[in-house]
Amino acid sequence: MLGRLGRWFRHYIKGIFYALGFFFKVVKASMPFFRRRQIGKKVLTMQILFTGFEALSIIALIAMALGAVIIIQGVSLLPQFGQRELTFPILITIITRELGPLLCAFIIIARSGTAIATELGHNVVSHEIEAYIASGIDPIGYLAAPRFLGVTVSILLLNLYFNFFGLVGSFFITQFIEPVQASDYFRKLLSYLRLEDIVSSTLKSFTFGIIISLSSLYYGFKVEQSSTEVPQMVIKAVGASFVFSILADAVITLIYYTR
Amino acid sequence: MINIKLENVTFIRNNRKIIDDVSLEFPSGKTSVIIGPSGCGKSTLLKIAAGLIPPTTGKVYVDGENLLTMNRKELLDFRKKSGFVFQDAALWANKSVYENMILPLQVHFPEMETDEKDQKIRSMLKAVGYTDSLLLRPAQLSNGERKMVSLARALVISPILLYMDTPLTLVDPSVSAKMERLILDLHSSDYTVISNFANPSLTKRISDFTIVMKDGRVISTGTIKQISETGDREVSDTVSAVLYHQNSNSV
Repeated sequence: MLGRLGRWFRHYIKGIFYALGFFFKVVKASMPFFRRRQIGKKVLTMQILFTGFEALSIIALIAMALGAVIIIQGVSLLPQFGQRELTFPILITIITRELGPLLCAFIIIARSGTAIATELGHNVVSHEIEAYIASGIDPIGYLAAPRFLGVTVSILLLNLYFNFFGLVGSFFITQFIEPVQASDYFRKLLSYLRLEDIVSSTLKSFTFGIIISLSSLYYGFKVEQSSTEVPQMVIKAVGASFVFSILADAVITLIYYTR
Repeated sequence: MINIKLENVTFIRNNRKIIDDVSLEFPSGKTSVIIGPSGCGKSTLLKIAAGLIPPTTGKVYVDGENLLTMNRKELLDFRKKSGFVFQDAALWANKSVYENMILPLQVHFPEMETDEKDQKIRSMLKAVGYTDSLLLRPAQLSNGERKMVSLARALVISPILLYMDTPLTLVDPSVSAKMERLILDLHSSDYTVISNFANPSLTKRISDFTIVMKDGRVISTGTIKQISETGDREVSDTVSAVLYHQNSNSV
């Protein structure tokens, strides 16, 4: 019993060091990506296109719907307590600081995280990774680094879209409920938007991007021989991405409020 | 010329010894063929010798340099000199035939003009007998065509060392004949070929150095004549099963 526990612990610690080594290797391979002439630039472009651009419509829809819900709730509930002005801080707190980055992360996990882990898993099973190595192409530099950079850059862009559609879209919703002057609306909105909100939002998105890309890459490459391992690893990648993103969100929010 | 040497190589997967303490040297400029029953570790040994799988213990030397501790530049230099033909072709599924062919050229010959790369690709594909569109994806190709492209991809960088893992399996006779001719040409040139053919007649025709494997061990090495004449029962049984019994499911 004690021996089994010891073996499990040793295996667990070895796994942590292996994962850390992998993360370090991916980050290291990504650093010179923009300086050197890289054959993986096309992979990076495709990743940004898939993650950052093709998710635009779904992000716009969710952001506008969320902005609308906040405006509708704010306009109907807050005046009852004489706190109508709070609609704007609530809108910024939810769209910019809290829910925006997290919802973007969830969308990226569902779209790109699963796609990355699945594709890499299949690459391993069909020996395509070995073919890259045999051709002198480092799979970390060619496959992992552009995906890591692509997802991280894309999530920052998506968060920007989310803010744009959430804050601007809510203006159009407001017009249906209670028409206001655009200048008046945006003046009030911007007066509540602080630099800390933007920093917190960007930091969260950046952290989520790193977490999602690294988790998906790690579990994708962890597939060994069988195609049945692919869905198992995808589930693990999604689980790890969710858990670590929410934990990171909690930590960043905690730092923000206890500062 | 390039020299590949294995020293006390052992490979363990899922607590099972796939390769058991193998030490051997593949002669440079010659064709070495690994033979043995199915599942005896031929493909694994080939991949270890090519540096695609790191052994659990032991060393792989390329011209006296340890392959596993080579720096990036040395490793890239070795890859430029070697090509690998995979058992299942292992073409990159999300790339067209042309993209599969051009990627190794972009890695090893970044300064080469696009026209020259294009010409090289077309002539290599023609040499292996591929006549279909270059824009097709691997999923749109037949097994034979995939094998042709896989062989062409390995040869497009003009390597001096070629690893081949059963390149002629699942290939129809006409394609097989074309590829066989190409392999015979390689054999008669200065190429160092390390292979594992599922074809007894081809093995007998081109093997300069034969490695007989059983249960992950190398049980004999030498020319076919030499290994056939060893008095060892295990060796002669394996060789006769693999090379002389056409109905045997092994090689």
